[in-house]
Amino acid sequence: MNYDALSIREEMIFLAILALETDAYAYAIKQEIRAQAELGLSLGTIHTILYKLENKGFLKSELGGSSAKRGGRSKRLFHLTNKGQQLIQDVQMARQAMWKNISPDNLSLS
Amino acid sequence: MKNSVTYQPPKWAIKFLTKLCDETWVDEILGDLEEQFHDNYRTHSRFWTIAIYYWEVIRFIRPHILKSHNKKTSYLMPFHHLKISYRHLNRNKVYGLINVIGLSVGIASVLLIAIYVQNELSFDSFYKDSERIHRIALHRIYPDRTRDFASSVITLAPTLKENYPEVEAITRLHRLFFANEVTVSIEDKEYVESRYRFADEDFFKVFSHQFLYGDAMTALDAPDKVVLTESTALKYFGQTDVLDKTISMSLDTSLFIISGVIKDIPINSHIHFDLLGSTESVSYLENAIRTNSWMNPWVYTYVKLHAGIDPDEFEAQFEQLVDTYGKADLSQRLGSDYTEAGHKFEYFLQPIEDIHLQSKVDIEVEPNSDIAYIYLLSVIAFIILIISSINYINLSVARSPVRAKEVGIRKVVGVHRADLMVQFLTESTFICFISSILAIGIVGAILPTFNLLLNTALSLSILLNPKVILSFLAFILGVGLLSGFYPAMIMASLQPARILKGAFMHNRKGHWLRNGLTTLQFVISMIMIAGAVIVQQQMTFFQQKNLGFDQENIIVIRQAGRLGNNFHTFRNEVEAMPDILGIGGANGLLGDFHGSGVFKTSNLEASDLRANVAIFDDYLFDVMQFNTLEGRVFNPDFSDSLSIIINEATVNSLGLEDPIGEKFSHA
Repeated sequence: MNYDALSIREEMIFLAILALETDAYAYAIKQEIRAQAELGLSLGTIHTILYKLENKGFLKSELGGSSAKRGGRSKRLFHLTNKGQQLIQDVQMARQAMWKNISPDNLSLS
Repeated sequence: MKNSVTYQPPKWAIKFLTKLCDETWVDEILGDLEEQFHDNYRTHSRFWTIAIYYWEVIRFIRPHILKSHNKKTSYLMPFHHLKISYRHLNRNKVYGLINVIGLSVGIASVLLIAIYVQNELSFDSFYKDSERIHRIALHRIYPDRTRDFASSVITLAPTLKENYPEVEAITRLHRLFFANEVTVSIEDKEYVESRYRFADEDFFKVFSHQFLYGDAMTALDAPDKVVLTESTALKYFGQTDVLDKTISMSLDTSLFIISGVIKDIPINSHIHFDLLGSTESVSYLENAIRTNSWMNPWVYTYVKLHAGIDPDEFEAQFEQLVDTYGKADLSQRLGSDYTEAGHKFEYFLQPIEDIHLQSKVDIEVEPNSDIAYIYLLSVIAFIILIISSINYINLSVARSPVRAKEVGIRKVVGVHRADLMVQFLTESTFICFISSILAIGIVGAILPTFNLLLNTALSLSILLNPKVILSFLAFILGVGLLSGFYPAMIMASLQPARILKGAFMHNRKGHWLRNGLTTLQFVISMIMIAGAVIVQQQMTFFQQKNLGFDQENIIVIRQAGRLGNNFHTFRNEVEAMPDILGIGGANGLLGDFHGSGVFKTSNLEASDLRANVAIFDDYLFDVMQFNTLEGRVFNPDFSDSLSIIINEATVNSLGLEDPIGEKFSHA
């Protein structure tokens, strides 16, 4: 398994891309992570992670979809490669497998 | 809702990023940033929107987005240097600590002195148009001597106001020269005030005090009006809205109406008062006005000139002023040939901003400081800085053998000498920066004690001024470079081949310089320590010098004269107390000035003597244990109403052979 290389931030970005479906570009990802996880990442951070993940072959991107609000500049839209999809699912499976063995009594969730 | 289309992201930031960023990314990054900018503009203030934009741009400075030809190491080297500096500090904590503490104590001293000097230089500059306000002081020439007065005659202001168009506003201030303490009564409470001053109705036209209540233009336009400061009002009434309430004071039987309450006067002014009455309520001043007196310098005259008036040209006209307007009065008082006899009244201007540091005249409103102290302190600050730099230099050079391997390796892999210099300079600046932050903490911690000692109200808040922040950063850089330059040069010039062979030896050539620096450092330190010890001894001397009377276990009761006829009863009661050895009275505190007179004796060769006079009762000499050289002191068994007691200095200056029985008379 190679999901030991995946950090929480990277995982969140994966999940955000999946949630955003065809409109996953850096700023949208930032908003999604802020809205769902209440985590404020700078665009620079997100951009760097996207770049790394693409280099590792987990993501693919193409340019597209400009708007006036962006000053007519195009977005870079990301989607997961098969490898990426495999990875994020593996991570989730592993998590669930581990959670299964945890008794709710041991958690003091408020 | 704000219109988001009219507002664009800062051009400078866009340009910066475009220049830095590889073309592959620049379009999408700027797009994302702009989208965020417009979103933020809807929910944030304009300031924050721009601030966030800049912050995001800064966060984008990462290796992978840089243009490929920019991916040279030089962009990233500073970070590397900082990291190495940090690691060295972290690894050699003792060495680092000594360096940082040494530098920070030095910087803290400099900072403290800088804050103090800044405060001294800022005196009276908070008044509106302070650069146009001058005091008119008097250079008085007598037939046999001269004297400079801060004060001037009461007729000067109205004369200038009427006859000189250069004057925008002019006012007179008076302080009670002799009866320094005034008792103020509010209903049944009494307060002894030493900062009761008087001014005419134009005072607030010259000095822009902020009125909490009342009208500046009419606040002093009647004899029975008085202006209070905020804290005085609070002290008397527990509130500041005290307009039209009345107070009475010991110099006058009438009631005074509070016509204004102003903000407390900042410490950095040469004029302070708690109460400001009208000069019209002081009878002898009124008298002087009525008789058009040009003789006695009883008031301070402050003039505000119109914008664009050259003070020197204005001052030049004063030469005829006294002759033109004061001749009649002065002829009457001094004789019509007073000019020929050698009397002269020369008025001159003193810019109020300079009074605190540069005025050297008598009868000041308050004691001043001296510009010499400012120069001296600045020099001391500079010397302290040099010492701490030398300290840093010696410590770094002493450690250069430890860094030799690092330098050797760097040189082997191709680092230039200049780059090595940059590395070590970065390191010294980094240490200097840490020290400065620590220094600010040190200053913050000792400032309250310092204020207590010097009776100042200094605060670190002057550091918040952008100009000050910039100069402080420049200062840090300067100290870093100054103290880092020599060690950097030494370390960068180490020879890699010899170092890697393990043949590193101390560089003999540099010995004289390092020894010289150490010697200099010790010499300066010793001089300063000696100076501190001398000051300390001087202070001890002040406190312990034998004043010729017993100072121990003496209690002074001020204002006891107000007991009036009850004084004798009071005396007897106190004397009967078992813990009291004796009780005596005088017309004032010993050492204070209670007036003077000119005396002559039968010795006709000695010139007349101006001597200070104090009045004691029959008991005080015994209570204070004065040493009697000849004769006897006042004693209840004798009637001494025509006796005087003189001191050794008076005997000497009058040249008296046998002072007992000598007759004194007023000259």
